[in-house]
Amino acid sequence: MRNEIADAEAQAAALLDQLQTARAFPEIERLLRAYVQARFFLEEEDLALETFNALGHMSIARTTGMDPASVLTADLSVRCDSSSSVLTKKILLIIALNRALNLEISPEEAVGITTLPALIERTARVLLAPPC
Amino acid sequence: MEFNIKKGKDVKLNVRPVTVCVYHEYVFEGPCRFGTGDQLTKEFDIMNAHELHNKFVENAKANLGNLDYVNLMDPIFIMRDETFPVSDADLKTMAEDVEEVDLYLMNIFPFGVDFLLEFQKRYNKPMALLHFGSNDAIFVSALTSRGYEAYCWFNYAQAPATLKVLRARKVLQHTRILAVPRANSNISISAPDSFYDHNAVTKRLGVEFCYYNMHEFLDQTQMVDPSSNPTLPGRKMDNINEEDAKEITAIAQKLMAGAESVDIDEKFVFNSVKANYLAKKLMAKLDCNAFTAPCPDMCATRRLNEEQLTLCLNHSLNNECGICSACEYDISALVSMILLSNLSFSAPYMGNTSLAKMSASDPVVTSPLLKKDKDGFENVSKNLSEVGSIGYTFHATPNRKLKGFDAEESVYALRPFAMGGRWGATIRYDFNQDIGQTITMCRFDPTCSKIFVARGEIVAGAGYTIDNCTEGVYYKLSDGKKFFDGSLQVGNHIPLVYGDVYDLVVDFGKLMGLEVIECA
Repeated sequence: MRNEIADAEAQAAALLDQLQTARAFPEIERLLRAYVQARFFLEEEDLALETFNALGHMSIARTTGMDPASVLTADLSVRCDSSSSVLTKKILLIIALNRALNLEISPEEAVGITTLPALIERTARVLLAPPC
Repeated sequence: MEFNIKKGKDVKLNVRPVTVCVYHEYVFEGPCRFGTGDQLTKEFDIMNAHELHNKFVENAKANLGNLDYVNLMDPIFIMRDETFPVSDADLKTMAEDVEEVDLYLMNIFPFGVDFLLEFQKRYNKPMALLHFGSNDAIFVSALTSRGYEAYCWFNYAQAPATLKVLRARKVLQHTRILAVPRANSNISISAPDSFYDHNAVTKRLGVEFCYYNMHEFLDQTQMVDPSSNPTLPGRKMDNINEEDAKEITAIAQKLMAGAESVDIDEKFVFNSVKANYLAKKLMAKLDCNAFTAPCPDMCATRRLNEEQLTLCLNHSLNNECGICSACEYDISALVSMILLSNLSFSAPYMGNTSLAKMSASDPVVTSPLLKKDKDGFENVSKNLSEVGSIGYTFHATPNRKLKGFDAEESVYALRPFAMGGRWGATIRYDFNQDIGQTITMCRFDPTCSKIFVARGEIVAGAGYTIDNCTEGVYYKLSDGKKFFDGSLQVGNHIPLVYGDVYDLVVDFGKLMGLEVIECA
């Protein structure tokens, strides 16, 4: 499992590099979906869940081998501020994208991005913006 | 005419959701700082704080936003760094519109009680927190030990009980009674068991009083030049006029048309509605929202006989629209009605209250007035022959909204109070249709330092088909002796509402520092 996670992390890093030069919406969408799939250690069909809540739960299920239904009650967060593992995954994802792609998604805006399609739209808006 | 009277039932509890949280300026680990990599960054903390605040606000809206009696205010979000500053600026941010806030719903992570203690020193406002790990015990014990109000709910299911009690307190604080005495403005001839120190009532409960001379009141029921009242010569007052009379006629006719049976002339219904119309006119003018007058004291002046009206219908019509209204200048009963009504969201009923049977073997002992309904009394005696602990309440002031302000109007009849003259309209309600209904009763004692609360179950009604002060209800109690002993401490009229708000009354009593006398 450790090797698989390492491979997925490497794959995610490579996809992030490709995203930096993507300049068409279909390409951005494909790469970002693949990036989330790799980063969250998901299967392709899992992406149909769309919301980061559901994707995060499935991610935990896949990495721990737990039944997805049990993930809700068995949160693995190490924080004492009631933040869940699922939420941590989403935040770390947005931080990584902000840094790599200069998306400048603010904390206020991040709250409103609750689905993968919304994140794709937001990312495309920056990557496809005409240069100043 | 719609009178601008601020009714207690329309009062909302203003709840302000507030998040106070910490972000870390620097990346480090330690006894209270966990995580790896980017989880330890300021970037992460701030994004996380926004997410948690949003989740908190969404949950508050989902669980409290649909409660009619709650106004969820715009949330406030305060972040501070790991030096835990308590700045004037942040305290001022949290104190936005503080005078409007009735309860702060807090969300603190991972620390924050220190901040709240500073806030409380300045503003002293009730606060609530949802159960979360260690925070709840720290929050409640730290605040309450310092004399501040703090509540913790294990989950949102527990919230309504707290919110309803706090709202009832707010309603009382916004109550101003139009009290229409004859001579003694503290107590009346028939209710010396009422509060005898109104200043103490204001101090403890916030209830205010506006005293209004009963002769000036009765003068204004006359459709004459409003400057010609004998009690206020030359001063233009609020006499019933021709426009008012048209409305009063319409109300009277509607009442008669809607009744299952009517045994009183329209002119006498008019007279009774006229008294209610004037009462509402004066309450609106004087910013009052509750009413009482001493009917026996007034009766003794003979003026009610001259005017051919009683105030029974006035009380019924007031109570059913959310303006609590009590007979006999019994202000203890009136304030009890305001409390009960605003916990149950239904119209209250008051009357002479006593025990009909202590043990099952006792015969039914009631007021002779209730025995006038011979068939009714015979049924009660027969059906309750093997039942003990039976109480009763009777006055000719039931109403059509006992089942709730939002419920359909109940079936009723109209009959007179005066047996000879056939005037003094009263609403008649058949309590027999509500056998099995749970009721809650309560009354403050004359010193406003105790409150008696009891639960009952309706077992019979009386007086629907006859006239005079014979309208009443019998109910089963859990313990007749306890009820009897409790009532002796607090007084005669023990108002009731439909529904079980017993626990809420107990909570209210404890909140207000009252000694609670229970009969569960």
